[in-house]
Formats: sequence, C-alpha cells, structure tokens
Amino acid sequence: MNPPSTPRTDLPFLRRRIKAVPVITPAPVHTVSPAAAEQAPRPAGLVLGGERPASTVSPRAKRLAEQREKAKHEDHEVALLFPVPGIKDIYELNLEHRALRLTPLQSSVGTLLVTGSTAVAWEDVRHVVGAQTSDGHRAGSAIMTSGNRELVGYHGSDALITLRHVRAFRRAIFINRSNSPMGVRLFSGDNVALPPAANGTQMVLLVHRIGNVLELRAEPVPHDWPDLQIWQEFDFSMTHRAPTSTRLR
Amino acid sequence: MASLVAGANAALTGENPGLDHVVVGLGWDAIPSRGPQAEIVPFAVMCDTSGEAVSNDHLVYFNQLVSADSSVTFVGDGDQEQIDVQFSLVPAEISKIIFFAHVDPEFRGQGTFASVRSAHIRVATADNRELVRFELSMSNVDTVTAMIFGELYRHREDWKFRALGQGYTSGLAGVAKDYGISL
Repeated sequence: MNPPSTPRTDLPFLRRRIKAVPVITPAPVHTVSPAAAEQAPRPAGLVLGGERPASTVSPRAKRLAEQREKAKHEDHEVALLFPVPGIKDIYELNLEHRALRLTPLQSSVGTLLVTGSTAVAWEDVRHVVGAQTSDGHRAGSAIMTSGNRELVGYHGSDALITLRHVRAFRRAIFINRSNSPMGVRLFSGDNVALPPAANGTQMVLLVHRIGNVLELRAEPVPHDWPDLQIWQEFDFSMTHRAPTSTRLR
Repeated sequence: MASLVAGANAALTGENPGLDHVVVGLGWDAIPSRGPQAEIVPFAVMCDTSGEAVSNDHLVYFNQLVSADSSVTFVGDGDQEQIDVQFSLVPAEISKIIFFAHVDPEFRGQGTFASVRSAHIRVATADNRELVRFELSMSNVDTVTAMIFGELYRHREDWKFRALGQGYTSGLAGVAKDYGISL
C-alpha cells in the first residue's frame, strides 16, 4: 500500500510532522592557510565525550606547512654560512681561495663534472658510502637514481655527480694522483680548476651539500697519504651492505 | 571540469569566487627503460609585466621549494609533481606564473620528450576538485627538450589559466633565455 501523499486530517493523533526542507547551498571553496591553521583556537582542557573538535587543518595545508618549514630551515642553514665567492668569481680553488658555493640552480641542473681526478668517494643522505677509481675499482656501495644512473661515479675518465638528485647527495671527495690539475665544470659552462700536488701537498676536492646549495672546498692533504687514509681523515667509512632499496626517486 | 586546447584560457577566480588556493599538477607518462632514461624536471617561474622572471629566487622547483613570498610551493605528489599557488600571497609585481618542464641536461646522453607518450597540466582546488585540464600533444617531440605546459596570469582583478604546450629544442637554456633566468 502506498502511503497517502497528504497528511490525513481526520486522524489528529496520527498527524504527520512535516519537516522543514533544509536549504542546500554549495559549500564554498574553503582553504585554510597554514598560518591561519596554526592560529586556530584550541579548546582549553580535556573534552570528555561529546564531539571531537574538528581539525581545521586539511592534509594539503599540513603538507604546505611542512614544505615551507623545510625551505625555511634550508634558508636558515645557508644564511649562517660564511660568505664565499661563486664559481663565476674565481678561476682556481687553492690555498688562498679555499671554497666556493654554487647557487641553488647551479647545484641542481645537469651534471657536475670533475676532470682529472683519479678516485672519488661519496656519501648520500642515508649515509650510504662508496668509492670508485678512474680505472674502475670499486668499494662500498653504489647509489642508483630513478634515471638508472649512479648518483656519483665515473663516466670514462670523468667523475660526476647527477645533480637532478642532489637532494639525495650529502658529500663527495675527489682525489687527484696525476700531475695535471683537476677541473670542475657545470651545465652552464662555468668551471674552476684545482692545482696538482706541489711541495708534498695535494689538493682534494670536497663537495658537500648544505641546504639546497653545493659548496666546493679545496682541502690540502699530504701527498704521500694513500686514498684509504684520506677517506679515514674525512670520515668516509665504506658501506658494504646498502639498505634494501638504494634506488632513489 | 573544463578541458582546454592549446592557446585557450579559462577564468579561475572569475568562475569560482573566493578561490585563493590552487594546485597545479603536471604529469606525464613515459616509456619505461631499463637503461639510462630522460629525467623530466618541472619548474614554476614567477614573471613580472615584462614577461621575465623577477629573479632566480622566483623559481620554484625541487631544489627551491618555496618562493620568497611563500605564494608558490613545490609539493611533488599525486601527479608527477604538484605546485601550489596561493593567489592572495602573490605579490602585485607578478603578472604571470609559467609552468614548464625540461629534460635534465645529462652529460651521459641528453634525452628528449620522445619517450613521453602523454602529458598534462591541470588546475585543481586545494581539495582536489579539478577546474581545468590540458592534455598536451606529444607528436613531433623527438627533438623537444623543454616544454611550456601553461601559465597562470592576472587579468584585471582575476586569475586565469592559459594552456600553451610550446616545445623547445634548446632545453632549459632556451627557456632561460626567453624568461630571463640566469643559469
């Protein structure tokens, strides 16, 4: 039996309550800025029973706040650094000009190419450490990137760092046993040289990431130190078993 | 949701009063390779009325996550990459924000967009309600090494989106030259 479409007025005790139809309005696009979200009032004291206070922070706003915090932290790290020249400012890293710093863009485009090195050791952000010599000997663990290339390694006689994955990079040290200088070249064509060993001292190139920039340093070490001793001096301890996934996004 | 063709534009704030936060998603589908493969890197560039980047601090990408004014934020999720824009925080001097992707100039072999089968850019609200989408044409891209996907731009008091799909064979260097980015 179908219910009557109108309330029966002859039966007052069965009068149907007519509910007011709620007016449905489209929900406005609601965005909460992380700053506003942080300022949202919180209930004082415990809320026992009843409704949980609804969170005003959307997952997106949380993610944005995280990214901003990360960027702020990086900016702060870089701001604390001593001023050093850029790669366009000097021709050579030596005892007088020990360090230079790349810009965020220079630190992240293409490949940082090091010519004239004979060995490199690297460490990524997960502290996976490996090394390779220009004649193909390897130690520790290689770090593969999602582009199916090594984060740091040799291509022919040139050592390189894959800057697309610079966020996974922590530091690397380049050693030169030859009588020729080492050279560093960027995608932009900018370059800088490091002199060969002289007077019993050799220059090794230390590249390390601080926040979103790479710093290049020339570090003098005794010429008769073997590679192993240089690694130890700079605290590169080879990782012989990498974590399950060495593949980076 | 509106689907655009190259050169077409869509009113964002005009059609959606109160819209302040949009998510610009860039995505692509590349043929997988066991060997070294082209790595595509998306960027947002904040340009002034001359159409050039105000400075390199006005680039937003994986190694510069947030613009100095916090209006543009790189998130990188969902689509291949996502960039959030909060219109109310964009300084008045910024007249447009372009979105492009380039193939990372890899010393061990420069790739191109040839391995990319499809690519899109879409604009959505913060809660992922898609407003507009543009599917880029991936024909004749064998020598293309950078691609402007689209741009957000001011139109009087409003923000609009324009679909572009403009390819470059000169890669990041070509885009940098056109948009005043200092490499």
